[in-house]
Amino acid sequence: MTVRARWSLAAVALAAVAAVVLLLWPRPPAGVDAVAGAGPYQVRLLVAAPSVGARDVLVEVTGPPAERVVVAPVMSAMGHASVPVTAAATAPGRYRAVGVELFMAGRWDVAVVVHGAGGPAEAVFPVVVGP
Amino acid sequence: MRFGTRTTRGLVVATAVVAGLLAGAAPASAHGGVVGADLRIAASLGDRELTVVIRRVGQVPGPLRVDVVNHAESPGGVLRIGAAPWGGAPAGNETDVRLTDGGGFAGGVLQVDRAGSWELSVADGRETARLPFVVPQDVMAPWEWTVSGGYTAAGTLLLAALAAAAFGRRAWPPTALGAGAVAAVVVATTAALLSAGIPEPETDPLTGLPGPARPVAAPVAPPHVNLLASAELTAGRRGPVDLRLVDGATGRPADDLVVHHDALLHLMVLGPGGQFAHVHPVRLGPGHYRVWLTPAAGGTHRLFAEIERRGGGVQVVSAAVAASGPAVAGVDSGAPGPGDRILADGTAAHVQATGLVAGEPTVLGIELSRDGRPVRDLQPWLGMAGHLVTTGPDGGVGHVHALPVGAMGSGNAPDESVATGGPRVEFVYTFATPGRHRLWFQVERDYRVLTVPVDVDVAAGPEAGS
Repeated sequence: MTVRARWSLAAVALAAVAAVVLLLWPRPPAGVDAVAGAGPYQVRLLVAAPSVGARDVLVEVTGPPAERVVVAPVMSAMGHASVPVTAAATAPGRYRAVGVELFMAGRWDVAVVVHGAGGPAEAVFPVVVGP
Repeated sequence: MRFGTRTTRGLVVATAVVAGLLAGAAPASAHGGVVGADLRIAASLGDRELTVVIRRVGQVPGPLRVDVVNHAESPGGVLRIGAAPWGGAPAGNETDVRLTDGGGFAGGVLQVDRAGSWELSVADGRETARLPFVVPQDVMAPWEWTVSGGYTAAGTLLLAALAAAAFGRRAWPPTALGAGAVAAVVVATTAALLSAGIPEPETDPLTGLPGPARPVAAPVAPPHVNLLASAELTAGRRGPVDLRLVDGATGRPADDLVVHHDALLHLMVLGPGGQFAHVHPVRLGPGHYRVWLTPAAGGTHRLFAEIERRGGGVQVVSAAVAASGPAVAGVDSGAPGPGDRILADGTAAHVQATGLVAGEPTVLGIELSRDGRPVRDLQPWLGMAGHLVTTGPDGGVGHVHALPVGAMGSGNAPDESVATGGPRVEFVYTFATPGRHRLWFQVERDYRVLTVPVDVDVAAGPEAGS
């Protein structure tokens, strides 16, 4: 085999390996961005990286002014609720809940409870948590 | 390709070594040897609180290791355990297990000779509990055959290519065989990489064989059960309570219970004077369970049985039995509220249950310490770090669990020999109705279940708009 043929064979093999690696490399789960209505409020839930561990959850509330926003995730299939976290206001209508424990992979129901001028209301978002 | 003689020889040796390794590829023993997981069943047999642990079965036919955990305050003695295929009698397949007074492990070895449904009999001399378990058949998944077969074929073809190159006269056999070896390696590697995404077929609980590759469309959930309780109890004396579970649709005994939270049947007993017991009646026959109780006072005792039928979710069925004898003097004096207290065995407990509002999830915690130092040797009980049972003005019974650390969804939760829990156990619960609720925190330490009763007041929540 000529030198050129050998080099081209090596290049092809390397390209094939790179393609396989790129296709199969584990990717982090896609973020969650969902909107739901809760009574008089509109609630938007943002979870950047829904994987097992303590995660930050961002909540945006539009509608009557909200006084307190609580994020309470529940794994309904296992019958287990995680500790509810009161979100701190970062800007008008925007809240951040720090350290929400998603301790297992699978389907979670994240309930966002809004207390405010329009009365208390709750929106439940399905979130799939990756390993 | 033009190489020197030494390079050629080196290449040939290297190829032969690789070919030999590939051809000798045996199926990975990680799957072939170990099947299933440990099965733990809590059993309140006679005067003893036991946990029967059936260790995972390696090979069929082969040994079956059974360990029995005795809890504190249970007397020692000899239990006769045996195993027989479903519906049969343990013919000679029996052994004795010697229990010591108080807490500890003891075990014995039995034999299983086939896959499928089996029954473990545990006899204490007065009655025999029959606990169902399934021995799964050790079957390799199709992808495993592909992987090991592919590597074996690759090695064989490579050796054949070497032989053809060394002794053959034509040019094409080595090339063709070498290409075949490469193809086999590609197939095996692809199957191995994709194996994580291929679901394993479920083991059919009745036969131990892997179920159909495509599950039957729309599995039907079983009907409800009715609980029939009969007992002749006298205050202050230990007596048997017989429970019969009948199918709600046909009236026949319901015998398809599966072990959930490490027991076939969890029974909460609420006595008239605030007495509480969380026990696990043993199965004596199809749909027939029995547990021995000592009522503290005469009166109506409410029983709540928590069960799970195969294919259905967990349900709670209730019944009541009466105990004769002097009724409790005066009304229920109530349990202490949250805060600090000393338990019967000297452990100090701090119960945190504040800010309870109906309709909102709240955190309830218990922190334990002994001699001023936090307790760090709690054992998991029924597979959980702790249990919280709640009753309230609505009459329902809540059963909240605290997951043990390190057992996040994996099949092998730590058993009672791992004593590393504590000092704080936390639960998250939403009280549905306001008013006074009674809670019982339960944790296990030193093979003794500690029960801490607490009365809490739940404030009324604002009307939730939904």
